[in-house]
Amino acid sequence: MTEHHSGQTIPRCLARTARIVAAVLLILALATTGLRADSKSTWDMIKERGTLRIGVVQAEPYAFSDPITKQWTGMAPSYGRALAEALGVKPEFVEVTWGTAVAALQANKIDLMPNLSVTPQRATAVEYSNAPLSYSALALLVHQATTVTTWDELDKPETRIAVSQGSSEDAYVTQRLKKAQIFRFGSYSEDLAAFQNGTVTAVALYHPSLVVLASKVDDAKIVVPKPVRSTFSDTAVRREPDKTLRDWLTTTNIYFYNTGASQQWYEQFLLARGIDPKTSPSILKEQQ
Amino acid sequence: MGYSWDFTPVLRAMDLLLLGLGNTLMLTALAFLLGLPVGIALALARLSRHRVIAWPVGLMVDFLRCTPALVQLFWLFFALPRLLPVRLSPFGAALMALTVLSAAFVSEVFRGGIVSVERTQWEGARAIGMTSRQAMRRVILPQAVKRMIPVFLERLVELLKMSTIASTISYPDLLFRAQDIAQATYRPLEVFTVTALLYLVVIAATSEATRRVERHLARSGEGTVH
Repeated sequence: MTEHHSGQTIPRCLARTARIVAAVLLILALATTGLRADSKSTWDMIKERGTLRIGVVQAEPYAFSDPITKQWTGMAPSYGRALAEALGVKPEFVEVTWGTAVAALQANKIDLMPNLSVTPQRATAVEYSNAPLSYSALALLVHQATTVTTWDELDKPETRIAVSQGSSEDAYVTQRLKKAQIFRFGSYSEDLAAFQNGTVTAVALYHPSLVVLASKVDDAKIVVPKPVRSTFSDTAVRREPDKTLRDWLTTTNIYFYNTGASQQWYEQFLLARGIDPKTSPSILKEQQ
Repeated sequence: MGYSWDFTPVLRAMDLLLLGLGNTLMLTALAFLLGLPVGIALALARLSRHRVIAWPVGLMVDFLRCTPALVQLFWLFFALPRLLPVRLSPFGAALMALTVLSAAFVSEVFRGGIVSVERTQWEGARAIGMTSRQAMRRVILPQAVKRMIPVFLERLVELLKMSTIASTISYPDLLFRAQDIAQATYRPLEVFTVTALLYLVVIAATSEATRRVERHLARSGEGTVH
C-alpha cells in the first residue's frame, strides 16, 4: 500500500519496518561490543599516559575551581598533586559529581576518586583503599531560630531538607527521615540557594562543608543531630584484577593521614577562603 | 573483556520510573492546556490597536522567546522567592516556566494564524453588519484555530522533551527518577536505555496522534496540508 504524503512514495509499511530493524540492529551491536575495558591495568595506563586523572567535585573544602583562573584547589587537588609527584606523572583534574563518581570510574573517565564516603553499596561497585583520609559528622545548616537536636525530631512532614543528589548524605537522609520532604539538587550552591529562598529549612552536609557554606550566609547555624552520624571518606578506584594502584593508595593514604598532611591541606584551603581553621572541626578521628 | 548488561536492577525499579513518567505527562499536559488561553490572551493583546498594551506585551513575549527555558526556570525557583514573599514548589516553578514557554510560542502562532485569514473574510463579516469583536469571534477565530491545531500538537511533543528541565529543581519527573536509580544501582547504561525507550514510546505515540489529526483536518479542507 503506497501513500503519497508530503512527497514520499516509499511504501509506508516498508519504511517503518526498515526503521525498526535498524534500531534493533544498532542496539544489538552496542550490546555485543559494549564498553570494552582495556586489558591493561590502570597502574600501567597511568605510567604510559604520563598523567593521573583525579575525580573532583565542585564541593568545598574537598575541591573548588576558581571560575576565572580555572585552577583547582582544596583537599582532593592537593592530594592529587602529591600523588602525581610521587608517581612522576602530571595531575589532571576531571570534574564529576558525588552521584556520578562511581560511573566515571567504571567508564574509565578517571583513575581515582578521592574523598568518596565509604558505603557498603558503593563498595559493591568500586574498590576502596581502606585507609580513610578524613572523618566527619553529618550536620545540618539551619536558621538561627531553629531548635532541633535529634534526627527523630526531624522525621516529620514539615521538615524540608536539601541534599546533593546521589551523595552519601542523600542515601542516609532518605532512609533515616522517611516522613520528611527531601529535595535533591545537583550542587551545594543550589542546596544553599534553596535554603536562602525558603524552599528548604535545612541543608544536610558533612560538617567541614557546612562551615564553608555557613560563612556565606546570614541567619544560619550548624547543628550536629544526635545520635551523631559519623562517616569517613576514602579513595575509590575501579575494580580490576591488578591491585597495584589500590594497594599503593593504601600506603599513601596511611602516610598522608598520619603525617598530618590531609589535615594540613584542609586547613590551608579554609585559610585561603578566609575561614579560621579553629572554627572548623578536625577531620582526624583522634582529634574529634 | 566486554560490558555485561544487567537489566534486573532497572526492571525492579520500574514502578518508580513509571511514577516519574506519570509526573512528566501530568506536568506537560497541564503546561500545554494552561499555555493555550494565556498564549491566546497574549496574542490578542499584541494585536490590539492600543499601543500601550501591544508594545509592552510584544517586548515581554520576545524576551521570553529569547531566553533559555532552563534559565527562566532557575530564576523562577531560586531568585523570585527572594524578591517576592512567595515560595514555589518544584512543581509550581516547573509548571509556571513551561506554561510561560508554551504561551509565548502559542501567542506567536496564534497571531500568525489570525493574520493568515484572508482580508475578504473580515470584509464579508463587516458587510453583513458584524462588529469587529463579533467578526473575530464567529468568523475569523474558528478558521484560524483549525489551521493552528497541527502546529500546537507538534508543540506538545517539544514540550514533552523540554519537561526534562524540571529534574534540575528536584521535581520527580522521569529523568529525575532515572538519575536517582542510576546512581543507586550503578547501572547508568541500562537505566538510561530504558528511560530513553519510555520517552520514545510516549513521543512516538503523540507524533502519530498528531499526524492523524493533521490528515483529518486536511480532508475537511481546513488544515495546512493541501
